[in-house]
Amino acid sequence: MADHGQGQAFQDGQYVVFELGDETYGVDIADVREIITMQKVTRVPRAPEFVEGVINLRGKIIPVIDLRLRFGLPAAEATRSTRVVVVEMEEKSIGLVVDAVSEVLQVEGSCIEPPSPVISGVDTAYLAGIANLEDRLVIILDLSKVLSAGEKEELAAASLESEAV
Amino acid sequence: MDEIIGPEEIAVFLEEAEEQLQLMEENVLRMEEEGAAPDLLDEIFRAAHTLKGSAATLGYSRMAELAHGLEELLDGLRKGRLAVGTEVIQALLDGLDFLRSMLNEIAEGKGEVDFPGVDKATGRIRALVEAVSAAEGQAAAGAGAAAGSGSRPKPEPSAPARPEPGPGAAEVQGALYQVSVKIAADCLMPAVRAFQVVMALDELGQIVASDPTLEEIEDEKVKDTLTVQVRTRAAEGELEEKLAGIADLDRIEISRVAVADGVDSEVYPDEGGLSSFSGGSPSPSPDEGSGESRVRRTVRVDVGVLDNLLNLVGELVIDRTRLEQVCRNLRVLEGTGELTQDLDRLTANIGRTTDLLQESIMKARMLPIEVLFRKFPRLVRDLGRDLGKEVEFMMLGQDTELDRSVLEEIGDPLIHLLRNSIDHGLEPPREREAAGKPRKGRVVLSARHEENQMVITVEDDGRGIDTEKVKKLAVEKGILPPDVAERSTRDELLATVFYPGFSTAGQVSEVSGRGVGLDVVKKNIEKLNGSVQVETWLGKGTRFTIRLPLTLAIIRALLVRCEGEVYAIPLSSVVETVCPDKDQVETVAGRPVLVLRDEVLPLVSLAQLFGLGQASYTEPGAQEDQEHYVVLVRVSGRTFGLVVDALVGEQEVVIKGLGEFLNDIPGFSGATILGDGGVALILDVPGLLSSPNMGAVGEG
Repeated sequence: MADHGQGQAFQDGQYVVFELGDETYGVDIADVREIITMQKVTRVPRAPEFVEGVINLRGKIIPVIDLRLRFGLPAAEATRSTRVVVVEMEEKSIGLVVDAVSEVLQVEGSCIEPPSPVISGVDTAYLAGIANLEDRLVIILDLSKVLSAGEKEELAAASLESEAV
Repeated sequence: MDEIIGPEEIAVFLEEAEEQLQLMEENVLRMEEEGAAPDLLDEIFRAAHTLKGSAATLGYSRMAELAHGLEELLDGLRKGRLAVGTEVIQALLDGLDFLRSMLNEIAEGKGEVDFPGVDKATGRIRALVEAVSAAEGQAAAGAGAAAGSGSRPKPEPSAPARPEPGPGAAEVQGALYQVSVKIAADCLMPAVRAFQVVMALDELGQIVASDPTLEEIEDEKVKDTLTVQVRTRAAEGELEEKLAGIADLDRIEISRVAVADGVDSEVYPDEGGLSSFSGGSPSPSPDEGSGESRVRRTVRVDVGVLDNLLNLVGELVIDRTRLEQVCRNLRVLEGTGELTQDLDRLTANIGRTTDLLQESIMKARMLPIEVLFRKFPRLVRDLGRDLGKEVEFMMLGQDTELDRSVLEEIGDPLIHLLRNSIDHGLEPPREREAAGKPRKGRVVLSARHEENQMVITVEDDGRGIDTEKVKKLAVEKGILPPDVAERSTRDELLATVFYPGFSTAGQVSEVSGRGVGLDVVKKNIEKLNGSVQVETWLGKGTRFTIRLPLTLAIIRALLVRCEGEVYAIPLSSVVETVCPDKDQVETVAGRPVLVLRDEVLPLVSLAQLFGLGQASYTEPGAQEDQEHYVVLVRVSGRTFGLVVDALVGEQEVVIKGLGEFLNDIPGFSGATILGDGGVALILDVPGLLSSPNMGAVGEG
């Protein structure tokens, strides 16, 4: 994903908008492969905590990440509106569990501002920007950073630990 | 060379060049052992020539130059002007090594790189060639003239083909065949292919005529079709088989040319040029078109296509299992009506077809293990030299086939075991003589199928492993506590050679050392759901036996339930399952054990291992109302009991990866999809039991 640095203009684009806690988030529609209803997740013991488990997506096994846990929000039971947003990161499919998917929005690049450190409880490292729409704010996620190097290191450390024994 | 070379062309070139190099190396090594037999030399020469041609076509001039040098050297050998000696063999091998290094550079996308040593190698080869030519300079003026125009005897300008038809042709018996091949339109090196075809046919018999002629082919004047008439005693099938190995041929047609009595081959070549028979029939052949010509029966298929096919079959296997389950459910709900019976029959049918399909695709993915083995003779030769050991190396069962996915993974472990045998197993020649053994140590690599497994052994007749020494070392290195070491059986002691940090060699040598040991071999093989064992006879030798599944894609597994999830345990790890009585479970030093047929086996609760359950699960039987099952698994020569909630059944499972972020979780080798669409994790038993949560259980 492009580097959305300070002062850089955002492109007009379509975003899949979803709810998580009290916030509204958006991801670039180009990164979203499909949106499916919540299904039975097989837990993976010893996996990092934010990994909910794996699911069977038409014969392919993909990991599912609970975005609430990922963003440090309190865990919530799955409801009828819970969805799995299947995104492609680095050519691999990953499911993101969100509270609800509301719509696909056309957002003009001029409405999006770079993230400022004061908004929301979510670590700004995951944010690409904030879309300031008439009646609300949509937090645009930078997917490549949602599973940022930090997590990969955490995973690597976990496996190293066990190898050292 | 006005076209831009694309990655595909380079890939084709690399693959073939690798094959040629391999062939040359094998034959050079054979030549070192057996001397320079003419057919051996011819084969090496042809490979060098082909390589030279294709390298030049793609503009890799340094490679072409080096290959040309080799070709000249070989020609010298062929003509008896040079004798096979250490110097020549070494020059050839060095040349091959450089060619391979250049190939690797090209493969890595760096293009043709100048290696500092290449000129030296080429120079040395040239020097060898020239030394001979100079000595012969005056002696054989006639031969010298021929050598000037290339290595091949120069044909008459008007002659349509290399061998002169005439008196020679009459001596060759057998039938006259017309072989016509169509070279693929996108073929990059049509001249090379055409040359290969002519050479292949020349090997089987005598070329009577060809269009275009060999001369034209060498000058790269080729058309999309090549027609050759060959007189040979070989059967049509042999011709076909020979040609099937050549790439980029779209169509191969072989037909027998009926020769009327008294009319000899000389009729055709003179008939106003050879092109005449590419259009019409060279002789009135009554059978023409009646099935005499055949289309080749083998095709080259991209590995990706095979992988994809296997994936699709995997889906089918899963669906079949699902279908069977639906049938069962339906029978429960609806009873055995006509419809259910129909569905049952259909399901059984689909099941059979799926099995056959799976089997066929598996077969298509099989490669003879020779593909892997062929690089070992050189490796062993070099290792023996470096280590001052004399090695007689034997390979058995090279045509044993196994899935390419397995093949790709076992190269490194095998190299390691071979190194280990030569470095640690075999004694130096003098020590062997003192022990009354032949100077040459013997290393045997063998492969065979045993039931549904691949068995590979690496065996040496060296000094064997001294278990007393192993015991001492294991204690010294802290692998075994002294009291445990004393109690350990011979087999248990031997198993410690596979522990990390173990090395029986007094000093770490450059060859086997490198900080990795047999533990890595074991780990890699177990990752493939295989196992490795060692047997040893002191003073007589050591044998490592590797057992592998024939494929990595589909395995048989035992499905168990634990805390609501289903897990698959590869059957290769499972010894047996038991449902123990309460009095069979006891506690030793606070840890639960199972007493089974006078054996005391440590029990491990899967739930606890995964941090899912409570402590009570470690003691099956503690809760009166809940039964537990124990799956006995064998790891590193020890048996453990895995406590699970229930046994679900045994079935074939298709192994799938867990995805990028979960690949390295110890204890799981993948996941599979169950009949109900759910996901079951596949346990990697060795990884599971060597994991941190095991604590001291492993030490028993």
